[in-house]
Amino acid sequence: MFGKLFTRSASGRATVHVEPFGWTFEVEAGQTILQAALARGLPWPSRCRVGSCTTCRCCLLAGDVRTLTDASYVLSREQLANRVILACQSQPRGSVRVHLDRAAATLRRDADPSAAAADASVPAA
Amino acid sequence: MSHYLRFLGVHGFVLATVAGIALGGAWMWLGVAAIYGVMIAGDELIGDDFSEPAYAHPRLLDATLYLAPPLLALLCFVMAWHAGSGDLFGAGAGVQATLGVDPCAARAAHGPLHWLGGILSAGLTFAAVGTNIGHELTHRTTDRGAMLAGRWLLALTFDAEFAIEHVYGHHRRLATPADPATARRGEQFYAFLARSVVGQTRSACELERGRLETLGLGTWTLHNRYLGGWLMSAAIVAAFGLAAGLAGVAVFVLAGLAGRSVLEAVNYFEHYGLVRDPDAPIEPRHSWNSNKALSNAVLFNLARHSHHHAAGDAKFWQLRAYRDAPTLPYGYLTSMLLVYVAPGWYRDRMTPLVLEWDRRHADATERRLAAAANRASGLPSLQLAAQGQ
Ligand code: FES
Repeated sequence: MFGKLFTRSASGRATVHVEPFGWTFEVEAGQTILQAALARGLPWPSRCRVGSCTTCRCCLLAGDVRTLTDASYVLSREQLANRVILACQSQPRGSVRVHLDRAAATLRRDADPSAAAADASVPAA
Repeated sequence: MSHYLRFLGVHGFVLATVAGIALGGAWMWLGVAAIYGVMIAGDELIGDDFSEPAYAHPRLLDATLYLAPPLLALLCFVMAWHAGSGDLFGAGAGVQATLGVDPCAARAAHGPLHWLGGILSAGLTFAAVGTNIGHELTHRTTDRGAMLAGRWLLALTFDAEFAIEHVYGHHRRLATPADPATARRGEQFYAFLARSVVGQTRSACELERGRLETLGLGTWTLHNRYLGGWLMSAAIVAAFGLAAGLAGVAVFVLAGLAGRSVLEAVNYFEHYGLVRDPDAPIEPRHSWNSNKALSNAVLFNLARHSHHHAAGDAKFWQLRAYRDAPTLPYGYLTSMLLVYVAPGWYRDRMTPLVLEWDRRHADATERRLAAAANRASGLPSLQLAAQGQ
């Protein structure tokens, strides 16, 4: 039953939900999460936009993404195991839920164990 | 249509280099003379092109990239044939039968000075076509075919590791002291060349080691892309050795090194003296830009460098002009020639432009970083300016 929730809609768009802010936005086919977020004026942190600085990292809580660059050059084993992804290098395959901002993550820590994992896996920049 | 055709121009230069080496004698200089001559004159005469056409058939543009591997293979074959003594694959006899010219006679006429021209022509062609298209292709990290073709193209200049360092190192550290490929204020080209090559090699090794550790893979395995890159170059050297002996190896290695130095010359002027707060996003102002029409047509919009660094995932045909970005005083080949033959002069030529960058483009943090860079530059004109900054 989740299958339906996380499949791409007919228009080729996908929806991204961002914890803990409650942002929800559409990503066009071929767009990255970061591109879509910036296009909507959301203050998503980013620097290099080619998958090397890791500023745009977030944690994938649900759903799946297509990753453009080889994140193993820049993320640690723990981060990869905890599904940390780079927003600038991720195109959602269907709808996804991600967790951004390690400081704000504490708000959700008790409520959402996977968010806590995300927080622990993202060292302060 | 012309918007598409202009990206074929660079392949004409490969053919000029191939023809020059095949004709032998003084013709061996044809490639280097044609590339510098046409590009320098063309950039002067044609000037800028700020157009940003929308391409309905980007696949056609991609196809022009993939002409590079076969054409450069042809160039390598002609180099090996002329450096050797036998008739590789009967090509000499074939040429004589179809075109009526005797390649053996051309080969007998080669002197060392002629070969110097041949090597410089091949090196410049390896860089302009191989490194440049290799750069475009290895940014496409999800496309295995593009990555493989790109790394082979880069292996011609002993630089397959570029696919690691450039994307995961240079794009992150751009315009900061941690980036080996950003020239510092006051630094001359040849000093930069040595620092950049050593620094990028070290960085590529470290990045690859980190990746292998993260994934739990061994260092001395075929998973190691750094070693894999050197194996590619070694395979090309071996092929030259088999085909044309030591002379073949010497010709290829010298041409490859010449090509590598071209990349560094380009790195030098693309980022000379620019500074950035390592914690701030990369913006168009952190690269020197050029909208010279011919440079961009021949180099697949590489000169639109401001947009490339601000949006490293954009394909070459999507790169925008950014009129207001800091702009180079000359086109790419003009800048290169000056950097090679008059490095001190070129550096001084950039002084007023760098100072203008401080005034017009830098934000408050960058102005502080720029003042420090000016003081450390060792150039009196920059140090003087730093007093008022
Ligand atoms: S912005 Fe640098 S990794 Fe995404």
